[in-house]
Amino acid sequence: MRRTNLGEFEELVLLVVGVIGPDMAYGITIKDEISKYTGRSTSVGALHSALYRLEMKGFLETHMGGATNERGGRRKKYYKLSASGKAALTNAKELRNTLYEMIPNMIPLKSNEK
Amino acid sequence: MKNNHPPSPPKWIDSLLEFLYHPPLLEHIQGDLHELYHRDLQNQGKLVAKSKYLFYVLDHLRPSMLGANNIVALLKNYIKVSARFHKSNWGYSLLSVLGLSFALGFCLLAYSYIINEVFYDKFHHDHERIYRVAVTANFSGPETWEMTPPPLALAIKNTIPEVEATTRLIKVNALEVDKENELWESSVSMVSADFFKIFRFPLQNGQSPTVLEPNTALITKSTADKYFPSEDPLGSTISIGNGNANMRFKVTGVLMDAPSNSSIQFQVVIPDHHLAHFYGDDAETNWRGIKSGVVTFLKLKPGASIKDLQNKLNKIADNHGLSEFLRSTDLSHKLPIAKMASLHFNNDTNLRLLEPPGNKTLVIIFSMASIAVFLLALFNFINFSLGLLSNRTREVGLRKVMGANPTAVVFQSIIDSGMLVLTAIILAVVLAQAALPYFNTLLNQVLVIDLLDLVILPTLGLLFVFAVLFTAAYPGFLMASNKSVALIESSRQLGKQGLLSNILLTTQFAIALLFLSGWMIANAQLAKMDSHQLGYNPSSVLYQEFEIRSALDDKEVEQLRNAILPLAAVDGVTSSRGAIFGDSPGSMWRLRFQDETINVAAIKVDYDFLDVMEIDLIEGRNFEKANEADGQGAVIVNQAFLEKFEITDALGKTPAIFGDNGPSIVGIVGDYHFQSLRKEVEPLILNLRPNSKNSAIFVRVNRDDLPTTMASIASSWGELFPNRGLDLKFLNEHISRQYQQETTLLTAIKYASFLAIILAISGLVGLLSLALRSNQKDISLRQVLGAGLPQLYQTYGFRYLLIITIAAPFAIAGSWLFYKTWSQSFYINTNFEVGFIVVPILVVGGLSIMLSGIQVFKISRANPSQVLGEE
Repeated sequence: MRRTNLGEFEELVLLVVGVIGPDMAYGITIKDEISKYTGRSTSVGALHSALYRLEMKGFLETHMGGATNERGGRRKKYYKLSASGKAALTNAKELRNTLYEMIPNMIPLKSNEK
Repeated sequence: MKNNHPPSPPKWIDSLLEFLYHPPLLEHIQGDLHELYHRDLQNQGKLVAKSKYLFYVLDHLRPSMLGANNIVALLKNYIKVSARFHKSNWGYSLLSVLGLSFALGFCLLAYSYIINEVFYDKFHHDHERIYRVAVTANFSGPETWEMTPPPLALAIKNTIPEVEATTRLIKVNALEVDKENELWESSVSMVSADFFKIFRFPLQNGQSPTVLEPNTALITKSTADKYFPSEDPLGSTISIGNGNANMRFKVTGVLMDAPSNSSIQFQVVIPDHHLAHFYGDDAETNWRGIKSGVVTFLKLKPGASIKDLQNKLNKIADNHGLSEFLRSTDLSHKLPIAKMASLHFNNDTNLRLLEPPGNKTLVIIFSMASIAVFLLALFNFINFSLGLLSNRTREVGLRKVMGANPTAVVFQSIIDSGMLVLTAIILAVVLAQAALPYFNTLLNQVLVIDLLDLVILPTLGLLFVFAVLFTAAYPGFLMASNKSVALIESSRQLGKQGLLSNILLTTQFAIALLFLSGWMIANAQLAKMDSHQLGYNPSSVLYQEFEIRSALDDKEVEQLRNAILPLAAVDGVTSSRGAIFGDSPGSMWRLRFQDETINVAAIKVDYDFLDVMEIDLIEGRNFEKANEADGQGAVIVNQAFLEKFEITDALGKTPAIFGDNGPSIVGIVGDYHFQSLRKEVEPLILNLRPNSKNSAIFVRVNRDDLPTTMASIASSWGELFPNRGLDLKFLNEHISRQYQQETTLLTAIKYASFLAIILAISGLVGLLSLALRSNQKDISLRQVLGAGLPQLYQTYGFRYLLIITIAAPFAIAGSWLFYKTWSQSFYINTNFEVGFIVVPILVVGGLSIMLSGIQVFKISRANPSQVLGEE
């Protein structure tokens, strides 16, 4: 099986999909949430491309539904974290924590700092 | 606002989206984008929303998105298959790519030259309305002069209503330009206010200069870069003059350099208000003060007819006594006009002030040569594609069985050749760029290959499409239309080289033979001219030409002779007036003979002219100093003169054509070539005219220790004539420079024929080896049955000898035509030798036999049992 890495943006997307929760997360809501948390606007092309890659890697599960008039009757693609997606996030977090704690003389960040 | 029919984004962007992306992905992406569109529409308005929507669509052009697209995937597969195919047949692919790229490179160079020549002076807006006005004069034969009286431009503008604007261009070469005592090597051009309205020479920022105030100057970008390397030239002051009466000018603009294909070139431009300052107070009004350097241009109003223009110009010439003064005999064209764009190829004036004219023959030869070379390479390409088909048929057949439709098959072959053609084009550009400096030296040009040029890029693109279609369409359709089973079963069916490839190969050989033969003819012609007895001896003769105002008179020549003849290395000093060898003679005598006016070249010579130039005196005597009557009353003529005027028993008599008081003929010289070898030796009169000025001096030297000799001559010269520069050159070089065009042509043909031969032979060898490869079983069978190398060669190689035999007559006809039109345009021409035909056939034929022999030998070494055992 191909090695699956999480890029920085991919990790962010995964996290946000998890935050929004199933039956809510599709392209537009994910884009909006990312903008909300990071304060930057997101390229919709980059987002769709990342979602496609994450789906191919098996980190996201999808189902179609929720067509509206605005969308010209086209269905939405809803995303939710798969088990391996959750595992990948946990792995990434643990790796980060381990490395973080190995840095000498690191003053812990205050959580209220943004 | 929501309703049942929400506004949807532009249809065409949607179509683009639908075309680009994989249908399963499309639904939710398109839905998301539509949603975003609606949001943008409500927040930011229609225009922003639309453009943002387009941006969203294009933003999805990402590898992972496209990776899921079927068109892209298909394309990738095609490219992969093509790459594998070329890799496994790398020899043939390399051969076709190299052939095509060398040929294309040659074409690119030739093209840059041709385009440059063809569009000479055509970059001016409305260039077809711009004319140059000249004058006709008849002082020593009817001549057209490019230099005109200074008041002419204004007079034309004031009296002829059809004329929109006129301008003068005055090239003042003798002026010095300096900036804070730094002397510039730049020529100064004075122009009228309308110069920049007529011609398109924009400023650096792209605008046309508007006003030319007195005491301001414009300089070109290259001049600015050279003399103001790190500062802004605007506002700085330069000084222009001839040493004592310098005038100060403020630099007010930087002009773009004139394009290389402009007959008008300049470095420093100042307004012509200052004409009087440099040319004398009466310059602006003096119709007789025709100064060298004043060229007049006019621009007609749109739609104005030129019918009456010539008459009106004639009237101006009459009103100001110009035609009378110039003794013009061409009464209908006293002030002849010529279209701006025609000036480059028309060397119609005796003293050309614009840039030197171009060479039409060279343009034509280059065009034909590059077309021929390109066709050669293209034919090779087609032949190889056709030949290689035999290796592809099985694969294509299988593809078709698996469901590939004809379009897919054609598409595959387009990708096959597209890859090669693209590689060839890129390589050709690299090659052409690398060869450009040599090419420029050869043609004495400053050409550039500007790929962003509006012509080159589309042409290359067209070439690409053309080459790909040409090479891919035929094989592609052939394969697409054949039955799949037939393709798989008989791999030989398509590999057979049909009529098409035979015709192509024959054409190639005809062209290669023709080039080789043409090269031999040109070579022989130049050798013939080189070795031709000129009738005088130009080697070891130094010469210098003078303008009339700095010319030496006979007394000064005598002073020079007395000063330098004692030097051991100087064998003789002499002078003449009239043009120097090879040019058309400067002065003419008009003689009436049998009711016809004939202009005969007349050259004023020194007493020892014949001795120093080693011209044979056939009869009579040379001019004698002791004989005072020789000064005015004696001439020496050549044999052509006697023949032309049917004079027998000439010595000591005055021929009737000279009139009663005319000079008598004291001597007869052989027909030496006082003009170029393109012309037959014409009648010639040599006379003395003592104490008049000379336009050239000649010094015959011993070449042993040239630097010392030159230094001694220069020091004597400096003492005698401190105000006149000395610039001696070898007469030989002057004479051979006359044949520059021919030498260039020879070099061009040489390279083209080299390329043509390589292409033709590589085509032959490639085809042969392909044929051998696809017939390997057949060959092995023959070998098993006892066929030796000669029999094999007879079966497979003889065909190509036949092709050369068929090509030969065409090549012979072509080279005969070339010989007839080109070589025979010279008076001294080489004979058409059998070798011109036989040698190319032997060389090309021999090379083909040898190389194809090697191919047959190589294939015959394969072990038949192994080849046959595979089945």
